Amino acid sequence: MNAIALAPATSLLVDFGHGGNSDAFTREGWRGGEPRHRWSVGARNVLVLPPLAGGRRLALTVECDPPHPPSVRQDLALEFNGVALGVLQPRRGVPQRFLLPDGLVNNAGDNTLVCLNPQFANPADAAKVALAWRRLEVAPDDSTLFDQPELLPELKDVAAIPLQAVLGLYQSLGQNCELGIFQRRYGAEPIGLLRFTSIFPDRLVHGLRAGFAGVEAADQLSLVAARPGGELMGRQASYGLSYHTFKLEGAVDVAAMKTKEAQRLGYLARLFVEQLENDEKIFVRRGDFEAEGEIRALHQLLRVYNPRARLLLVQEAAERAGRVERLAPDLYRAYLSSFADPADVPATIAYEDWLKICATLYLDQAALGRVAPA
Amino acid sequence: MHRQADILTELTELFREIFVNDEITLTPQTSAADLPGWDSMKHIEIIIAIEQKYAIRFSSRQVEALRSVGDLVAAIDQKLT
Repeated sequence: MNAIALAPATSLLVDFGHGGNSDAFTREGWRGGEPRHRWSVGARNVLVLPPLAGGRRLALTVECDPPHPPSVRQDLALEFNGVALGVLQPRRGVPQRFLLPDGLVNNAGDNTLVCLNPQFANPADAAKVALAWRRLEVAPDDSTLFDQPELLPELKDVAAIPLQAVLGLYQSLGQNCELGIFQRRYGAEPIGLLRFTSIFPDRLVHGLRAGFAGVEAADQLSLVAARPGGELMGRQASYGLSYHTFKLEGAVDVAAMKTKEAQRLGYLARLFVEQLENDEKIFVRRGDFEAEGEIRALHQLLRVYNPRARLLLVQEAAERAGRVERLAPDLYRAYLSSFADPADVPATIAYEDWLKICATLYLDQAALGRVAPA
Repeated sequence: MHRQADILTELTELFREIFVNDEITLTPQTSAADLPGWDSMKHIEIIIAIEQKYAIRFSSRQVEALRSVGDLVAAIDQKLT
């Protein structure tokens, strides 16, 4: 008799309580059911889910509590079908949601969720139980980012804001040097790998996935002036970085500078990853990443480093200049009257718009307790 | 304090190498505004050299907070303690 192939599930609910259905999905790293939950055990916990229907965006929601009383902080790194999905920071009674990117879901075979918990602990319990899992759900995500963006209160007077401190909160994700030059104008000099850099969207995605590992390779770096005596531009091949050095050809020893530049890029990459992991900055991308899927994917990439990663997308729309919208938790969009002219960036930056945007979002973050109040 | 004085002396030598200028004299108050060429790129070069010399490591937050030679001396001293 031929086996009957079941259609892939369009949604799935795993109930980890006693009498629930979690036995069908748990593999290594679990202990028997409690009345309302199941303990994960050890550093690696695996769930195997059935085929899931593709063609729609899916969201994975986890309800998972730390032990009570809390012993040590336990953050889970989640991998779905071998791809890093993000970090789950268990909080009692707070479901946590992860979008499953297009193409990641397997509709013809099993889907594997691996939870890595290197800090697993419950010192009072020799069984090394870690976290109390209550529910896991996979369901279609029909929400759109643009349905009802929340407009942040518009800041009228930027004069009272300590600009250097405020502007230092923002870190460019490349595209060009406009944000970096704007920050410099007001004395803010945040350290950033991509601050004065141009990087195409696909290379940014690649860099974020790789943590810009190997960016310091000297054979991938060149220093080139567009014209004799002009500014030397750095070109890093493996990640497609193109950046200002603010040094003129002829004024420096290019060979020596190249050695130092390679070292500097490696160091900046280390700091960049640290900033991502420690949620130290609001990351800003200007111009591209307009479609919802692109925006979600970029934010998700940042959230792999820290689940609370903040992303600000800046677009051009004169009628909304200076406004900031919250599209989703930790995801913002703002508007300039116009982008700077690449031929003369410093002279054509919409400084007032940038000031309003940065100050408005800073105050919003301060109200949320995400930064020290100005 | 004795060690901080030594660190200041060592940093002076380091800055002279990095800036290729034997005339540089550092005080705790010396900052980028006082030293032509101490831009953000040079700042990273200085930090890298300090980390290598003293076998220490600064965090991203610490690097951004280091604005003067005095800041550098205090941070190095704290790391070496």
